[in-house]
Amino acid sequence: MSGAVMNGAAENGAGLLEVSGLTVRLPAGNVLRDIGLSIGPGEALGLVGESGSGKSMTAKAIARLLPPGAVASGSVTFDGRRVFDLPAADLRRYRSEVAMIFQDPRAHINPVRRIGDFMTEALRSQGVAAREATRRACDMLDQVGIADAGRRLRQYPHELSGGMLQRVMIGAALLTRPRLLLADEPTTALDVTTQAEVMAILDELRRSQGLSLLFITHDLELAAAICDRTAVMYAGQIVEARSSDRLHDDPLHPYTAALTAARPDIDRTRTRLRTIPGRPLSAFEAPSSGCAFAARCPHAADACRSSAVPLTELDGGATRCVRAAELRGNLEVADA
Amino acid sequence: MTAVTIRSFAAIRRPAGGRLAGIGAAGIISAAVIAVAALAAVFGPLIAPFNTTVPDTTLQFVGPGGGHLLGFDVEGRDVLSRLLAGAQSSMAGPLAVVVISLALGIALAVTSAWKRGAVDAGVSAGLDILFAFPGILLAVLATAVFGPGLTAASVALAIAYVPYVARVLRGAALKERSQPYVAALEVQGLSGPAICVKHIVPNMMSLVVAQATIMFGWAMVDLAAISFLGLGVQAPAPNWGVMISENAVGLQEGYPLPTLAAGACVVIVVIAFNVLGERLLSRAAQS
Amino acid sequence: MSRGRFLLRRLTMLLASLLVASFVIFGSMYLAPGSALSALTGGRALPPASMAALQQRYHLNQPFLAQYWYWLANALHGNLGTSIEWRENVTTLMGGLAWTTAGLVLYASLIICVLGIGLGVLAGLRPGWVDTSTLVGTAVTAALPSFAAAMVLVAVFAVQLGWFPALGNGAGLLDNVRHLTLPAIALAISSLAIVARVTRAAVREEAGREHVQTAVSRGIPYRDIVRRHILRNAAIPITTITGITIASLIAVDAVVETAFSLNGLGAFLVKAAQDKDLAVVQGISLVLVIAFVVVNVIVDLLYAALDPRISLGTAPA
Repeated sequence: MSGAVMNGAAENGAGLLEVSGLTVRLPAGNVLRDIGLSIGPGEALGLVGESGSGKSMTAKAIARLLPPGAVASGSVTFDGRRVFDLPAADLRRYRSEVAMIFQDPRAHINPVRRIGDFMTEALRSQGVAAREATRRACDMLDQVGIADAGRRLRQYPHELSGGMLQRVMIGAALLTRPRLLLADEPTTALDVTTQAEVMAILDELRRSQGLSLLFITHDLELAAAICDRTAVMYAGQIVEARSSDRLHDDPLHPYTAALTAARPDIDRTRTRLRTIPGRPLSAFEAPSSGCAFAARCPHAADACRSSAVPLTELDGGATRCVRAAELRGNLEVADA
Repeated sequence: MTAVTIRSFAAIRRPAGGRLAGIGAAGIISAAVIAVAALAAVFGPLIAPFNTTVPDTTLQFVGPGGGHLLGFDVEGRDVLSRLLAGAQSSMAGPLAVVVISLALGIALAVTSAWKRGAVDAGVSAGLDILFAFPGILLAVLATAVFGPGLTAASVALAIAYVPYVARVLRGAALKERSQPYVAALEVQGLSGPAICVKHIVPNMMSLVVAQATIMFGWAMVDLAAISFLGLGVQAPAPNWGVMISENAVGLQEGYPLPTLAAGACVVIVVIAFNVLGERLLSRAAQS
Repeated sequence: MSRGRFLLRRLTMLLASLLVASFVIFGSMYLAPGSALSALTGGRALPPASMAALQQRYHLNQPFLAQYWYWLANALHGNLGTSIEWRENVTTLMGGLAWTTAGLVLYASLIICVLGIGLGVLAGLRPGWVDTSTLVGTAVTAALPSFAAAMVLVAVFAVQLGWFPALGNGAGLLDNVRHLTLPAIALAISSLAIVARVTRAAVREEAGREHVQTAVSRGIPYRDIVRRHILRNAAIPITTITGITIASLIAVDAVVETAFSLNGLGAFLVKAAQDKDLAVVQGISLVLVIAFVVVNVIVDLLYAALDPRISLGTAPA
């Protein structure tokens, strides 16, 4: 049910990626609980949350990169096929259709091999001839805005800056012509100027290739910049999903409202920085019944703590708040 | 910052939970083994039940029995007694090696770290160059020149270990040197050597002790090897290395016990030092 | 600093090491109690003619540095002096022995590389009984000094089981190999354990690195990932530790040769030290130190070839 609710692109038919009831358990405890989302072809979905909310784990689950010892239940479907059941050969094809880019490019690229090796590796393992693969890598480097591509391909990662490495990573991911790109905080480790450049490249390439995008970040506004819809995660669950602009102006969940309010706004003056009292819960620490945010929520009522809260539709979006309908419009907390 | 605050920053850091915490069961067992060996080293000759030096060829390689728990060795002497008496020279040599190389190593490391710049570069380069001499080789050379004996071999071994020790300790000393409390003490007017001796060195102690323990194990192996080769302690003096070599003929004749017993003593004590040293090292790394 | 400059710097340091070592070897003559001459004769009483010849050959009336220079020049031309005990050219005496030592060290190195690295890689890649048994086995044998291992090996495999001979060199290539097997194992065993442990740790660490995850996420086959990312990267610390342990074999082999009554350079060195035959001690020491330095040079070359990051000056962990 949550899948259908979340599908903002319902007009396009079934989404390219459908996740429903995804629960992931690690030996330490639950990491993801009842995650549901859907991305259609060419669509961009932002996944926003603080550290420990489970957003990276969601991407890893979709990419089948869960750590050993993790147990996943629920369903992840790509193009109609169940991802968790894919046999080896199909899994390899899936991996070329769903690409992932990571947060710290320097750690995620092998430091003792050349950039050219890194970029062409996936193509070569699919049988593309080395020369052809290099030519395509060269073209791709141009597209991501790296000059002198031929020379760069022969260099080693330590000879490139963090921003350039992230572009290399994006380029490498796009070489296999994926249909879905999972971006796990690709710009968090970069400085602000580079961040803007990388985001621009990502956005442009996405549109020109018709790529679907799952964009993970802790920054609500950044997600809103390039994603049509945004989902907010807290303590291993999705607590709100909405189109990005409406999320900002008309949040359905107190946590989203608090996140928006906490972000320092260049247009407004305040005497104190707004914070959310308490600290973010990771999924392990979430109470087994009741809303995980209740302890920190200014609007919490008894009903919030008594039983598990389902994700419910509301006005074109979804929210995991029992009091969403009655709190509508009043979630904006008054200035201090 | 007040003087009081500076002093508390400059306080010597000790591992939490006392000296024995954090080394695990294996560490405690090793420490116990080492304690037994140390006791044997000190009291061995006194508590040895039987004569250790007078040979009696009629008793050559007689097996265990009648109070002689490990039987007799190649010269008809009681093996257990010889082992107990031999603990002294077997442990004293390594002790000397460790003490000498640590003294030199700490001095070099701290001086190099304190002065930094050209002095540090020079000392590091020098230490790198001195790496070419394996310990045993230097010890053999020393005994060829000075004559066989524990002293020459121990000093040579100590000198051979200095580059390694100094390099390890230099890293730690450099880290200490760049801590803010050192700058604070300097500003207060404390002299370089005083800071080094009263603050930097004590704060490196956990690493020093860990390295000392590990090196004791190596020195024991190397010195036992030297004695085994006949270049260290000379027969008929009791020493585990010597005992391994003089009783080796027993292997061929079906009496492996004396030589294996001596070998076991060396191996067990060395393992104990290695295990304890590694535990201490990981504990030092955490603080 | 480029790779070329790194290598140049290392080679210069190693050459300097060699010079210093040769200086120490030569100069040890003067450290001995008594005169250099008495050190050379090892306390033996020689006829005056022989003493004069010694004086001449070693240029003992010239300044110290000049003597060192003559000695070194001679050594580099292959003339290491004459043995006072055997009255023969040291180089000639060493000739046949060198093969035994080289064979032993190579045999042991082979064991270390194949078994040590092999076990380490297997244990690193597969958790389970291979891993546990490797850990336990290496924990025990890592601390086993060569002479202790030698005794145990002789007791079990030579005396009890009779599979291998206990002493001597044997005759003929195959017999030589058979005779060198137990000594090679004794020499290799503790190094093997250390190499296996370090290899295992390196493989484990590389397998857990993020760039491996990237490769998995792109659908690259496991076999290729192991080869191109895990092992290739782990090769750096593995090569270093293997090189270090092989270099250390050069010193310890004297002990093993003595224990197994092999006639190699090491055993001869020990005998010469006992006989106070300084020329022989100096000659063999020099050769062994050169071998030690050469192994270190090879390790440095391999390291530079494997790790492109060393151009930064210090390689990151």
